[in-house]
Amino acid sequence: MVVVLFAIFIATLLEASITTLPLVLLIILFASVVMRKNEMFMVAFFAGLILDLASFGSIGFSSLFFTLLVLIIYLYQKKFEIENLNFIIIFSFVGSLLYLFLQGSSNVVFQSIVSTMIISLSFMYYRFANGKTPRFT
Amino acid sequence: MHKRENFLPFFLVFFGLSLFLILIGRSGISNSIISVFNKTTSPVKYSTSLFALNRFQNKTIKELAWENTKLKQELKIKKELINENNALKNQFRISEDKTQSQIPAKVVGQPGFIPGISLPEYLIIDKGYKSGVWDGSGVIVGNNLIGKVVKTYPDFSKIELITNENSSFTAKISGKEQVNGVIKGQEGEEMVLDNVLLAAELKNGDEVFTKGDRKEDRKGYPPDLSVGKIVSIEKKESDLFQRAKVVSPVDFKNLYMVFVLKEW
Repeated sequence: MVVVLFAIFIATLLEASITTLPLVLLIILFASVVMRKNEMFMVAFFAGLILDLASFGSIGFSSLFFTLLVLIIYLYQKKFEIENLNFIIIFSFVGSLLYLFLQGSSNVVFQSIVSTMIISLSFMYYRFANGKTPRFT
Repeated sequence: MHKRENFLPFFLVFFGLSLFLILIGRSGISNSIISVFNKTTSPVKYSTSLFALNRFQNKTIKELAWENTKLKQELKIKKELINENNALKNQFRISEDKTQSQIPAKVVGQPGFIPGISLPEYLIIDKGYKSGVWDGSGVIVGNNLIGKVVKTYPDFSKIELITNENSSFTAKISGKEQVNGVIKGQEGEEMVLDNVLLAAELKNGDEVFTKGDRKEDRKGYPPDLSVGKIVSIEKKESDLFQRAKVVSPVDFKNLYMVFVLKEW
C-alpha cells in the first residue's frame, strides 16, 4: 500500500504540473486489480481530491470518477477473473477515454492509447517480476 | 483466490463524500482551500515544470545565440519606432492612453500531453483576484495575445490559450481595417481565421490583430493585440467565406512569465 501511495503522489505531481495523461487513474486501476482491498475506495477518494485541488479541476469530480471505477472493477471481479491483460487493456482504455472526455481534454483517443500502453507494460512487468506469465484470459 | 468482502458500505460512504465535495466545489467555498493548497505546493510544481521543460526541449547554445541576435535586431528597430512615436506625441501633444495596465504573473503550471513538445492545454499563473485579476481578462506577452483568464482563485488563475479549441474571437488584418474575421483555436499551433468575405484580399504574411470585443462585464479582448501571421489561405469560389491559417509568434510551450491586462 505504501508503494501505491508513493506512486499516486508522484503521479499527482506530474498530472498537476506537466502532463494531461491520467496517471492517477491508471495507478488506481492497477492497484484495485492487484490488491482488491476495500481500502482502495478511500485511496481513490483522497487521490481524486488531491488531484482536483492540485490541478485546479472541479472539486469532487475525480474522487467520484475514481470511486465509481473501483466499484465497477469490484463488481466485475465478482463474476469474472480480472487479473489478466485483456481486462487491463479494455478497462484502462475505456476508463481513460471517458475520464479525459469528461475533463474536456484534447487528443482524447491518442492519450487513451498511450495510457493503455503504459499500464499494460506495467502489468506485464508486474506479472513477470512475481514469477507469473502475463495471461490474456 | 481473493476473499470476497462486502465493499458496498465503503463505496456508499466515499460516493456520498464525493457528491458532497462536488456541492462544495460548486458553491465556491473551496476556492480559498484550493488557493492555500496550491500556494503551499507551487514551488514543487514549478520546479517539476521547469525540470521537464528543460529536459524535453534540448535547445542548443547555438540556437539560443542565433535567437538572441535576431531579437536584438528587432529591439533596435522597435527602439527607433518608440523614439519616432514620442517625437510625434510631443509634436501633437497626444496624451498616452493610461487605461491599460498589466499585472506580471509567473506561469506555475502548463500541463499538456507531452511536456515541452505538445501545446499546454491551459496555464496556471500565480496571481488571482487578490491581485486584481478578473475572469475574462486578456493575457499577453509583449503585444502578443496569449489567451484569457477563465477561472480565478484568491492567489491563482487559470488561462485558456488562444490555441484552445474553445477559444474564439474577432480579428482584423493590419493595413486592411475593413477585413474582419473570427479566430478559432484548433488545438495545434495553427489557428483558423474564419468568416472572411470572399472579396477580401488576403496574402501570406499578413498580420492579424484583435478587433476588440469588449463587453459590459469587462470580458473580451481589447483591440490591436497581435495574434499572429497568415501562413496559408483556403479560398473556394463555391464557399461563402474564405479561411486562413494563422500562427502566433509566441512559443506557448516555453512561457515563464505573462502579463494580465488589468483594466481597459
